[in-house]
Amino acid sequence: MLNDYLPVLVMMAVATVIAVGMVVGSYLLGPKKPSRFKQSSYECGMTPVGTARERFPIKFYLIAMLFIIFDIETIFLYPWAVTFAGSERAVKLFNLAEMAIFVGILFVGYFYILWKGAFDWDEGQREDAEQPSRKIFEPRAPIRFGNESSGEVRLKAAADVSSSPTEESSRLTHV
Amino acid sequence: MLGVPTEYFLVLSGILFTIGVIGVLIKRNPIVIFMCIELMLNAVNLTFIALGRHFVHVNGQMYVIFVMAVAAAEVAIGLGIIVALFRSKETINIDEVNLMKY
Amino acid sequence: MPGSPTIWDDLTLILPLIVLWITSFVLLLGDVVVWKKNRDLNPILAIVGTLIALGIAVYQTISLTGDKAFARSLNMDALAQVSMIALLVTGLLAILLAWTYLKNRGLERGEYYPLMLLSVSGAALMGAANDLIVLFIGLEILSFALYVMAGFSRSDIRSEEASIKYFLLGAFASAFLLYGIALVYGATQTTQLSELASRVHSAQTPMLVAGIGLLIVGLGFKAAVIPFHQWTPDVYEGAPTSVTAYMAGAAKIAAFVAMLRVFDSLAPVSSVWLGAIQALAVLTMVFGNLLAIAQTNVKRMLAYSSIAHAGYLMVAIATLAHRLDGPRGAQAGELAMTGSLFYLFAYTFMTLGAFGVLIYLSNRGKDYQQIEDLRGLVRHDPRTAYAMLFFMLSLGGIPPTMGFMGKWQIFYAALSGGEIMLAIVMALTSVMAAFYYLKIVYVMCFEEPREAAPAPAQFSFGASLSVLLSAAATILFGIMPGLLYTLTGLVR
Repeated sequence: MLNDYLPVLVMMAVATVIAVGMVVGSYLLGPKKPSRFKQSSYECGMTPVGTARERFPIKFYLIAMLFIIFDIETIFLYPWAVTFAGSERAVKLFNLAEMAIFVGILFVGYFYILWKGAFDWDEGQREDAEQPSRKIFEPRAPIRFGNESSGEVRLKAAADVSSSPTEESSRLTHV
Repeated sequence: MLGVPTEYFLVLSGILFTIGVIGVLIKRNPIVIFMCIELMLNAVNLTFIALGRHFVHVNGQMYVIFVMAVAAAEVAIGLGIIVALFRSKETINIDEVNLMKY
Repeated sequence: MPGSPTIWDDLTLILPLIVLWITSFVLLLGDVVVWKKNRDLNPILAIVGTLIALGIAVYQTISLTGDKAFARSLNMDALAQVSMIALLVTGLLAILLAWTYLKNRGLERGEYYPLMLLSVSGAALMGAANDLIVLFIGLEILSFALYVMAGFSRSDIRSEEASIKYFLLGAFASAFLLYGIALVYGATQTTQLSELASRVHSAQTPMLVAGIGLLIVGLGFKAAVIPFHQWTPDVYEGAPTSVTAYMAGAAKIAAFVAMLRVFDSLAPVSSVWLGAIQALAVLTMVFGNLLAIAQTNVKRMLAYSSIAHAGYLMVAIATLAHRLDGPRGAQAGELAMTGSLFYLFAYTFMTLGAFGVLIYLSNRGKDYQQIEDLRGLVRHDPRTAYAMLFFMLSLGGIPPTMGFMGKWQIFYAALSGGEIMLAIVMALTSVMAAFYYLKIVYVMCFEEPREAAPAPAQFSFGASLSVLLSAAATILFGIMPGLLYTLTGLVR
């Protein structure tokens, strides 16, 4: 059974040899005359500034989320299409109606996010746009990814606990 | 049946599921935890497909489609919650998101 | 079978769900486009939709039109229909509670009611599932909506925290449930519960045992059974109170109806899971009540109390294991089934009522959450205090309330099924529970108010009506349980 995989193994071995050979070969054979510009990440164009771990605008995540949902829902179309092609004429109309209902429900979601303004890239043009809490270029605290120690922030959390009841009561307003 | 025996798939998916569980238990970043949960779901998908092939049922594959749709919705909701949390808290480390204690 | 069932028959059976779906779509789009400003229209339409669905569900239950539907993936029998009625009633009461609560806090966003209706439909789907995959999908529909609703108060970091904790742990648990489903499928070649019942006996492999174990973990998480309960207190405390009230009722009903179904069909292999269920029941009853005693926050205390109630319901599930042990066991199994449905009704009325009192009081301009806040309530708001008194007595299982009748039925079922040990633990822990429920009664009635004249509660139609209905149901069905027996008795 494993014989079937022999060509794949040979292929992998050849690919590895070629790739490693090229890297090692250029390292051994090539002349080395380092300079400051050659050492930088981009040899021409912009001078590299700052960290590579830039924060992306949150809108990318929003669009990604919306994309994932509608993207995945299309997989239901494939089994449907296979059944549809093989079904009788009388059943076909019914199957078509079923899929129309399914897509209709998707459209409810689509129109909801469309009218809600989730696709407006420039939020400033919306009438009820929330004002961004902070300018983009203002210095920010570094992002914590969870792998750093979190000793001092715990203290901050403890302080939040002690102050929260008053905040809570002040936030309540009669309408 | 030709090809890889079903047990191999089941063992592989068991291992993947366990990796996911361990990841959820030891990681502190919700996005990574979330990725581990997705790994668990995909391990289950592998089980379903392998079993569906073994029993020569089409059900096994059908379930995977449902699970994928559910997982996609889960991703959207999870990212939404994490983004909302990040906006108000400026951190996503779950050790720091712990105001309520027993 | 007289004529093969058409798709229209199937659709008729889930008509209440269709009504819920259409209502939620209309609300979702209507709030964004049509009535942007008139926010009162949302709860009103949601109530109308729920009432229509409730009417249809009651009609179908009475006319006994239940059958398996959609290629046997749904089982719309009496259990499904009665649990759907319970869920719709929960949804109705919760919408009434949310109405002014959300308005006072500026949380009146249009997504709330559609999410709630969708989660009711998910829970009903879970209760009607005849296929483990449908059960999983129903569970996820219920949970996704609850994750979002728990974090509905976006300005409140506690609400956000509740949301992310609930989400991460919930997704983790549903992955376990799904793996359990996959393994059961692997062992028996089917995921249909009715098929499962006839096949499990000849398929007792390690794979089946592992699958059942994972099913218990996944369902136990949703039902908040110790040791899978860690999310419960935090989520109950952090989420907005209107969400907590709804979640407490609906998630519990859905999880336990699903458990009743699953373990009913797994009864032939009860030797595999009975020990685990018994252990979980004892743990849950003992520690749920012990931890509740130490709480100072009413919402948190009710969270632990909901865990303890899950323990009592687990006793019913353990009794179900004896369903096949002769006529006496069969009778005990039936009693456990009807008893736990009655208990779920009782639980949803009294829990929603207790949270409803908190919501009603919170209309004074500050959140009432601590036990301290209730001090001397009887002096300045006697009616509310008496309502709370009844809910506490009912939660504590003291006659003549509904909670007592429910607990008595499960107790009796456990005794006649031979689960003597569980029955004894149940009785003892109920005594323990009375301690902390009566503490609230004591604080309300016999302690001096903290402030002489607190701001008068704003009249809120929704919260008052909801508390009133819950209190009326708690007392009425406590004195005359026969009225509800006619409904729960259909499940045989």
